[in-house]
Amino acid sequence: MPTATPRPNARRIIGSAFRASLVPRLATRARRPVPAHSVAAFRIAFGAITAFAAVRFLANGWVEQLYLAPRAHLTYPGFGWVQPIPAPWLHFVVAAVGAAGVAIALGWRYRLACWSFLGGFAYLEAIDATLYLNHYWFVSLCALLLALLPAHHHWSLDARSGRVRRSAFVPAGVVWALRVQVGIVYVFAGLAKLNADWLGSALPLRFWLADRSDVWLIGPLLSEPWVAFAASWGAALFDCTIVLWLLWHRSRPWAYAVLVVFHVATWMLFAIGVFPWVMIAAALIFFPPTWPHRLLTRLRATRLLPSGSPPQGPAAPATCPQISRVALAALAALAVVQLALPLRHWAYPGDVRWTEEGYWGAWRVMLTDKAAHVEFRVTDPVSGRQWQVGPEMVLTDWQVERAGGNPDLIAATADLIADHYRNLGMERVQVYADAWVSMNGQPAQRIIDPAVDLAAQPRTLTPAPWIVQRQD
Amino acid sequence: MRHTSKAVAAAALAVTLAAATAACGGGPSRTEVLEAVGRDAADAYQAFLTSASELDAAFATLCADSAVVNGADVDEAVAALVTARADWAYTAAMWTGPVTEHRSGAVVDWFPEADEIAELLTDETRDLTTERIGTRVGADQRGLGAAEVLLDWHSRAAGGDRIGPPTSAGTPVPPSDPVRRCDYLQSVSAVVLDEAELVHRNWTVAFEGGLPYTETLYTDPKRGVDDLVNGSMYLLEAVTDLELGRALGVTSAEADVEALVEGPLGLGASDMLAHLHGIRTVMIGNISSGESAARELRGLSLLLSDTLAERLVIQIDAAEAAVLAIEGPLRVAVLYDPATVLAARAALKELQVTISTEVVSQLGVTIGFSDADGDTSA
Repeated sequence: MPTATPRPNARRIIGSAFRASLVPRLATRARRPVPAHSVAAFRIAFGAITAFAAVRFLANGWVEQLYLAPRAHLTYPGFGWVQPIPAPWLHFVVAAVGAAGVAIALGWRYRLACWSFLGGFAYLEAIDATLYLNHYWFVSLCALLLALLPAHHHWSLDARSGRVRRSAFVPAGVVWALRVQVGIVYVFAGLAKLNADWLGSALPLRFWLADRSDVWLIGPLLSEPWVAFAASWGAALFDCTIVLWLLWHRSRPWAYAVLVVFHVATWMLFAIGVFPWVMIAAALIFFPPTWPHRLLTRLRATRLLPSGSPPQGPAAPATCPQISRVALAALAALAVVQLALPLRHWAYPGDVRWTEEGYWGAWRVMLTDKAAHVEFRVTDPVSGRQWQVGPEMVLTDWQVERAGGNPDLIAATADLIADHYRNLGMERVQVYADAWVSMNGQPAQRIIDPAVDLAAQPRTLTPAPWIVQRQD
Repeated sequence: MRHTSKAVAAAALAVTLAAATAACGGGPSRTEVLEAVGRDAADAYQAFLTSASELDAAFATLCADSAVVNGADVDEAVAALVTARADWAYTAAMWTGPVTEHRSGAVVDWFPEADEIAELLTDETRDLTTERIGTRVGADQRGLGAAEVLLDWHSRAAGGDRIGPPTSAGTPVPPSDPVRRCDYLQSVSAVVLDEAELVHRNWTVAFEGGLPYTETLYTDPKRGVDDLVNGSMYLLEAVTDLELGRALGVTSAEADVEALVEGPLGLGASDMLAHLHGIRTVMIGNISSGESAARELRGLSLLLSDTLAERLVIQIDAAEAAVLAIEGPLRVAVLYDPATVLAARAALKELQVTISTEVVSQLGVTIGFSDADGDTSA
């Protein structure tokens, strides 16, 4: 008969050793000053790219098309109160977000700029859930991080004007926080690719690459199945391991070169906007903190930059700004949330790619192809009449396309349709969905129980019992 | 020296890629598939050009002496009109490029308004030249639909029969001069013929001063595939939801038979069948119904999985059979045999769902226009 081992004691010993050694050591190392150049470069690149994105948004007329033209918006659960303000004020909000990006890059009124950017950007993103993009979520998180971190004490107007104490150093924890943020994107995007469709059938890349067979020179190759398999496995391997390669100083330059090729390739093949450039810029944070200083020195040596006063190398770390306790607590909470969000889909039944319960904020980037056909059956129990309507009755074409594969947004569309008829006096109207979805080109299946009145279903974060699970 | 090595390496890489590209075997490329579909489309527009020309000739014969309406000439004109309608409806799944750019639908066949046609016909202050019909009257006053109405009036005004089944739509014959009726008819057919020539020329000779559209279709394969699939989707949506759905009271609170676009010839079901034949050509190749088991698939199905291609064959065959089961004018069938029409709609809807989900997904089709960023195709 086995004897009981004193497990609790062992745990307690290990736990106390952990607290006694690892945590203090980590805290000490996180406070250790490191050159602030890479953090400043991160801030400048972030501000510049987001400012460019805002200008691009305005120039393409997307404020009108995406926010003002739709008759109604599909909001996130609990955010129905967020509505677009009318033109031209909404244009001003986008312009203000762009201006805040410029201010972040310049390090001018930095904290105010960060919080203004975050507020404006979050407002714009909350207006319509069909506009959700993972890189917008990444931008929001980076803005929050920058608002919490002292990234404006070097190469900033605030430092130059004396508004904050000038310092060429930041605590190492600042660099770590940014690296963790970038790393989370890659790691979870990689883990999400470890599924049978992606690895076993090269889906949906097989279809997406074949769709680009018009690309010069390599086009015909893209419709070859082996290319799709190579790309699928390569992308999964890249996402899962790139952080390790970037952390190891020997492999870092090569890993970064691969990263650039990877993102430029995705930019050339798919319409993913500024995301590749955001990631190419953000991943530079994995280089040693002095990389911008070294780069400037080299550029001046090769006369690619005009020779002026020599770039300032890091001086003695006498004035290193610190992260406040409040900011530290917020960072810790943010870390927990970011670990929990991508994993929360395990709390829901079924395949998250199909149900999309636990999809938002989970870095499931370019992972699934869904095409949907959705119609609604409207019943007026008072008159006994029933008829069908399409989602385009309340949504624009692009909203229909983006909402069609998402059960929650189909239910939200049903709510809008019900509201429409309630406004016409049909108080007890019922709305049922006849929704078919093909995921990754597989035979279309029902995604919503057609016998459930969606207009009577509350939108919550709990599992939706009316979602029909995917049959393999 | 280092630059020379890099150049040699780059050239070697390019040659390797080109060789690998050339060595790629497997199924046909999108370019090849679109080239074949383009040829089928050009054939379709050629057929319509021929029938439009025959229609013009038939109306000329009918109106050789406008005071005398010969029954045989009417029959010949009706036959020519039926053929032209079917040939035009067949092209509907290929209404990309020239037809959409020129809005040819508003010239060749629109929703005819008998009242508007009668007003133009009886207003003797307005001439009925080809120029006026082509450029200065509403789309509901010209095209094959208007020709149907005018031909019916022309036959009946001379004491002849209705040109279609007695149960088909008919409107009272307005008091009118036979010469004006003939002028109107001939101008309508001339305008249709001009448009048929223009579209055919665009597909086979040059479009917008550039390549013929048969070549444009495959030189931008992404757009070519998107346009063709979207075209089939919208066509099916128009038939199932806008026409049949409303007429049957499925997509509206009340049934409304007036939602059907069907003239005195009662060709609603024939139009649907021709639309389906066009979709068949685009999706699985120009093979006739019943040959599916032994045929060699063509069209966009060559870019799809075998199982999906097979399902498309089955669904298109089933939809055609269901539409063929509709007897007589569609508006009569809707009222007196709604079960048959509902069955046809269900078969068409099944095809519509397959195209708008699985075909869209496998071909990576962008539905409509969306140039905003995305990091998922969901």
